[in-house]
Amino acid sequence: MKSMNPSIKRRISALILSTTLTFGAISGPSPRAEAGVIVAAASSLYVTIPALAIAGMLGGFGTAVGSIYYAIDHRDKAWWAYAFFMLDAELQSGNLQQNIEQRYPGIDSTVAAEIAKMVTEKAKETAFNEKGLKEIMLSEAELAPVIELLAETDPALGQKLSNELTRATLVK
Amino acid sequence: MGAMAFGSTPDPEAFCRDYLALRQKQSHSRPTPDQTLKLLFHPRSLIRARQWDRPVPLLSPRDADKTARKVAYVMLKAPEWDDSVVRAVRETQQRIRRLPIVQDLARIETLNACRSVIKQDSFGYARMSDYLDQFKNAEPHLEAKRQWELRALVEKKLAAFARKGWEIRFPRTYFEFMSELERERDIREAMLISHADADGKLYDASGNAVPKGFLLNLPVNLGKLILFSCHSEAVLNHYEAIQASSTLDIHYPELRDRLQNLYQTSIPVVALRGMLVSAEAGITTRSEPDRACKLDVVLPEVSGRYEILLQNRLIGILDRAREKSIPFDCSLLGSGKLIFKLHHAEGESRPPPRVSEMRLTTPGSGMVPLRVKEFVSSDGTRHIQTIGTTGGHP
Repeated sequence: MKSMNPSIKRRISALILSTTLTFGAISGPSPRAEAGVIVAAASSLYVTIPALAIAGMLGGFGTAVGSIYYAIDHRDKAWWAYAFFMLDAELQSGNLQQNIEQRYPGIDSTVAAEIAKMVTEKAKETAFNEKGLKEIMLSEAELAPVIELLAETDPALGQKLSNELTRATLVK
Repeated sequence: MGAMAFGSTPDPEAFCRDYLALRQKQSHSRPTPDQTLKLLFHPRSLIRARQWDRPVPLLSPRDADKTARKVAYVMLKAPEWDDSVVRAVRETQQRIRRLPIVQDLARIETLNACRSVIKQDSFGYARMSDYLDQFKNAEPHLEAKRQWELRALVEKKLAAFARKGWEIRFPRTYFEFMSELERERDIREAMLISHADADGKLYDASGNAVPKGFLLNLPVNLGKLILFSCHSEAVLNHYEAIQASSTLDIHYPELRDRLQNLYQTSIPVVALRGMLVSAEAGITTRSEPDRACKLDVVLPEVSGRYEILLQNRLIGILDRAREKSIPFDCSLLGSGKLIFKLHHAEGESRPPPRVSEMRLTTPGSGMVPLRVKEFVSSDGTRHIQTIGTTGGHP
């Protein structure tokens, strides 16, 4: 009898083994960490990156380690991204321009970039307070070109910026 | 603008609160056996390829024009990282996982139980805190590696598209994507793979948000655009697909209902091949875009790369050219005060461009010069924006 093609044979074995192990991991009363390891072993035989990501989700792997960090940092969303490889955009922590754009929806990117630049420049001359933050306050003169522009294009936003940025603002 | 400050050793009380909140969230999102099998063996079935404004998804896929030029644009970062830093974190992680405190925390259900576990094993908690510090310091590298892996996965999944005649490109910015579509007028179908946020904003590989309106004035040669990102519905609303779809076929992924407990409105990259149906679909016959209005922009000399917006919607780009004529649909003029904006598309350095002239041509009023006003930073070195409004020269 002609023997089976080795690659098909390997694939079928992997499929049977991984299906068995996957069901075992899901249906059995095993602790999370254990289940994670079993599923990771099973899936790595058949598919690599996506399955390992799923293993993190299913098992204790992520729960035990990664998520502890994210929980502390209030960044549990990042844990999701790590486990699933999703096209979910996250604000980069410390990206001032993005934070400004998030805080003032509808602001033009170049206006936000200009404010970020002003804040960054000013921050260089400012010392950290006891909480490790810097208190930045922009003057009306510094903000004048931005406010003048917004007076023509979006007066309400201009007023809001003028009110908020000429008062103390905390940055890291 | 409060900033998040990270403490070195987490306060046990805050730690327990956040940890339990996360545990609860995870328990809601555990896949069922059926979902697990799909995730492992048939990930493309996690999503359904949809076409905007078509009740039945897609027309006959066999209608596709085999000779049409098709390009997939992957707008994802390809960052670099220090592997030794990542390896060191992973090694610590292996050791930490074996600590009794980690095992004990995996079993707790209440705040009191968490406090008690920490109280009983302060040494373990201190070691865990050290690990968290190490993780925090290594985070840019871990994140870079994750981004690289994500992009590698996308590339792998795109191989199936390449076999069907799709070219794969990696623009650094959306400006490059727009510029290429303008330059290469034989591109009939495009796919855009990028991150999106819950508000529906798309982001390019440099982290720039793609401006609102970018769908509304794409080159007329483009007949089909596949948007592959998270939060599809929000993306389609934000970029006004309802208006754009009168002249352009827009395809997007839709998460299968039974998976919403896992992903909410996110889209897993592993399902990318689910969009092959869209990639093979024919282009619907639609009306020719009516672009009877026109904006002419003239600069004194060839300078940088600019975006041009009308009523806060992107209508065109000026890519290192001295002048540009941008036809657009007159409905974009809207009814409010007419404001055209011109600003630098990218880059830290934004030398003021000194626009010579902006002219608007409409079927009703003919050619009208716009009142041009340039805004620069208080030290005069950086261009913020140039606006053109109706009312003639000042």
